[in-house]
Amino acid sequence: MSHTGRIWIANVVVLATATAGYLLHRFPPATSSFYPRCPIFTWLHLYCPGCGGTRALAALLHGSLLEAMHWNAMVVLLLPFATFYFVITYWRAIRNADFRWPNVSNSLLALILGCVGIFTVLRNLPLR
Amino acid sequence: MNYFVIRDDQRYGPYTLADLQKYVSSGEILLTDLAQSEGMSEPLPVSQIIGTISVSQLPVSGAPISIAHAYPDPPNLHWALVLLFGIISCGLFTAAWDIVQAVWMRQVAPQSKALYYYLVYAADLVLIAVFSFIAAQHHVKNPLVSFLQLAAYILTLIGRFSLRSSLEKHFNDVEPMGLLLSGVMTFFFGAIYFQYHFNDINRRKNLDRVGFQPA
Repeated sequence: MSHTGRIWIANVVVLATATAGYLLHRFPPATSSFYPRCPIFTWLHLYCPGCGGTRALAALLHGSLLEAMHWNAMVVLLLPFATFYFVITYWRAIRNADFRWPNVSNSLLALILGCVGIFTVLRNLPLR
Repeated sequence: MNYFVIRDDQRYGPYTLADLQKYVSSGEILLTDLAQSEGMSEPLPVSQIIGTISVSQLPVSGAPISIAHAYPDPPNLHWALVLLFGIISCGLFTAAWDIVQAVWMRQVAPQSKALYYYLVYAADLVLIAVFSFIAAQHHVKNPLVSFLQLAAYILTLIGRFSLRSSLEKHFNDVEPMGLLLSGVMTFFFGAIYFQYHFNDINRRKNLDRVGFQPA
């Protein structure tokens, strides 16, 4: 892909993300019923690792960290990592003619996936 | 000093001068290919860069390029990141990554139909969002949304299996790498499963580029 095409796509992704953020802030899932339900929860009645993620992001956009943690703590904790990764990716996409995805070490990814797995098991245990 | 070889608007490398000489000798790089180092303002024909090799030893044209160089590499984001970003974005990233993979497939196999299915799937998702929004504003339930959701599941499955078929054909006939993809894994994991194999294919192609095999 040409460098110009990559810059164009990177900017479209940023614009789409900003638009999604605006819609989530303007129409939070707590008061808007049009958001799709998680198919895993609908069919299996189990919380997947992403369940509550949309509500958590909406709560963050309204500045309510505790509410966001209540809905999905893992999404909240992973968000800074994901944001940092996308900032670096965007920077590389617009600056470098020879684009490469930023590397993340396998051990860090294994640690994160392990935490996601434990989080998924714990949130489905009848602890309350 | 390292050099990049430029062929058909694709950059390959970096290679040392010794690598260039070796690959020219083996016919994987042609004397008519262009190459550029970091210190060069313009790419030059390889023949001008490796002027010290006897021309009689070198193939001038028509030699096939190495498999690792012939086609653009698959997208190389780590499969675990595709999974994590999919979770954080409530599946939207995975849907977008389906399209990224299908676009790459069209580049290496123009006859692949997976991209069409994924684009219709994406348009279907937009329609679901619009109709759901309108129905919620009027406090009614639109049965069309359920139909569109069913269509979305079917379209994404057709797209996945179409991509699987194209991948197996490409990586067993055109770039023979012995790729076999599980139907069950394709059904449940789609883009994440394909990405796992893309990471492996990229690793093997990079090993081929640097000229050694894994122990």
